[in-house]
Amino acid sequence: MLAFNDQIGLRVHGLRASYWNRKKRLQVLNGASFEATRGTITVVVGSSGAGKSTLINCVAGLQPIDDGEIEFLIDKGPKSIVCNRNRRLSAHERRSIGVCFQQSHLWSHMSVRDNLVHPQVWLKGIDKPEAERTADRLLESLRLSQQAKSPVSQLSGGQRQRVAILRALAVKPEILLLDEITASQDPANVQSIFDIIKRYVMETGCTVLTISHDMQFVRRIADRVHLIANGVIVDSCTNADLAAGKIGNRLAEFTRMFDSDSDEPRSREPSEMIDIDPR
Amino acid sequence: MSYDFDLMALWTYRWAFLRSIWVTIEVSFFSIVFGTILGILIGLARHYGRSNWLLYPTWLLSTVWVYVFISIPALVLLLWAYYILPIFGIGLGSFWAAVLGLSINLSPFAGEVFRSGLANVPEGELSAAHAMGYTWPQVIFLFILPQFFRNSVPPLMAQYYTTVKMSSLASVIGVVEIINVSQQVIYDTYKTLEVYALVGLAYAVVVVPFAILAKRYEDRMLIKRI
Repeated sequence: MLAFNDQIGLRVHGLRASYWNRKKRLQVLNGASFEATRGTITVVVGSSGAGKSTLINCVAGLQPIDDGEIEFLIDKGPKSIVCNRNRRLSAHERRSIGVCFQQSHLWSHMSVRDNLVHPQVWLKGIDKPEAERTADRLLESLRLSQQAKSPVSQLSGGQRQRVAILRALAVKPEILLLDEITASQDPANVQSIFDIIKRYVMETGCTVLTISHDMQFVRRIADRVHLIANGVIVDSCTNADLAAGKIGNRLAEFTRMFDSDSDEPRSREPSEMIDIDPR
Repeated sequence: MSYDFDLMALWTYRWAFLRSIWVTIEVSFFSIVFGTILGILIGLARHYGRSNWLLYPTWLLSTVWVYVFISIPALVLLLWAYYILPIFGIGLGSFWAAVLGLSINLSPFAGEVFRSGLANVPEGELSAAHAMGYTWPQVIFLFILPQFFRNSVPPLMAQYYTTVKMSSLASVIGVVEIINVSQQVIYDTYKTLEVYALVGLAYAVVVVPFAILAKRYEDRMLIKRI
């Protein structure tokens, strides 16, 4: 986006992270580095267990990092915030970051609409009537008005995920992190999600970092694609390169495997199909 | 065999009965209050005690407490409180001995209710709140506590009814509650059937209003969810 002068919105440098599983330390990220430009959508792709979700969790400040840096460029407040193993985002700084999780994690003790109203009121200090109007408008945009007053437990998986996306957007974040948001959506809804995110990015110059398996969605939404394998970014390209096929070997191999438009049958390694994502 | 059912024969004992109902309410009330306080401490220790080695002794203590007092009958606890504590110089009197015994009897059950209430607060939802920028006090008051109460109140009520009914055991150590008075009235009048009918009614009078209040609270929580 020219309007934002290719400013860096998010910079991840040499990120290393691990977690403990039954007294065994599993190194998930091994020095991942990449940049995301303001007003663009950056997609990280990779097979299960490559460290995609861990990456999002680290950026969101939910998982401690062992080494490396994450730098955020946020307009409101200090210009740039650098996080490392000793400094994590404060609650106040996190308010500029919207997160949508794979399992949606909506607040089950509230109605669907309150899930969108609550953070606006408590985190942004917006008046309740105005927050409710914003919530209704957002719910309308993804065809969820009918469910506004129902408890979260009555929604389907896809509906929950859409509400979670709207919840992240409701607080008008400057950096938006989306974890596998199209996993349980039908094509019509994928299109609506795509439209709403794209419009939000155009209007606000928000930096979006998302991870996905769905290459069709990636081709449509991504401005830049990074491939992660064994916790390192091994290949990157722009959307134009991806469309023209001017991509590195690793990325070409990956797209062949996960591309649903590809002529070849979807051939995944059997081990990969039963591999459970550690997150 | 004919039995002359004469409830009016008990009319002279009406004040004794009413006083005994009041004593039952008092014993139950104090037992529930102290039992719940102990239960909250046990629940917290059992839930958070293993997250940090400094807190580990609290986990160990609370776990031993739960297993020991879950297996000892309430009657035995009352007898200990009334007959054994005075040997160590702690003479509580029958009323407070009953309260102590019943509180300790309630505490492991309440503790387990609180522990599971805390354990069932969905962690992912808390992470979401945390990630969006809610501060820790906000997470506790806006997310953990509402879910915790929603999880804990219904099973806790069941424990409270049990404590009210168990207060009948206090008659054994001489607390002048419903059962104790009814025994005396039977010795005086030989009206066994009438007295025991009245005893059943008396417990219902204590528990039913309580149950209605609890149900209304649960319904309100349910409406809030929708």
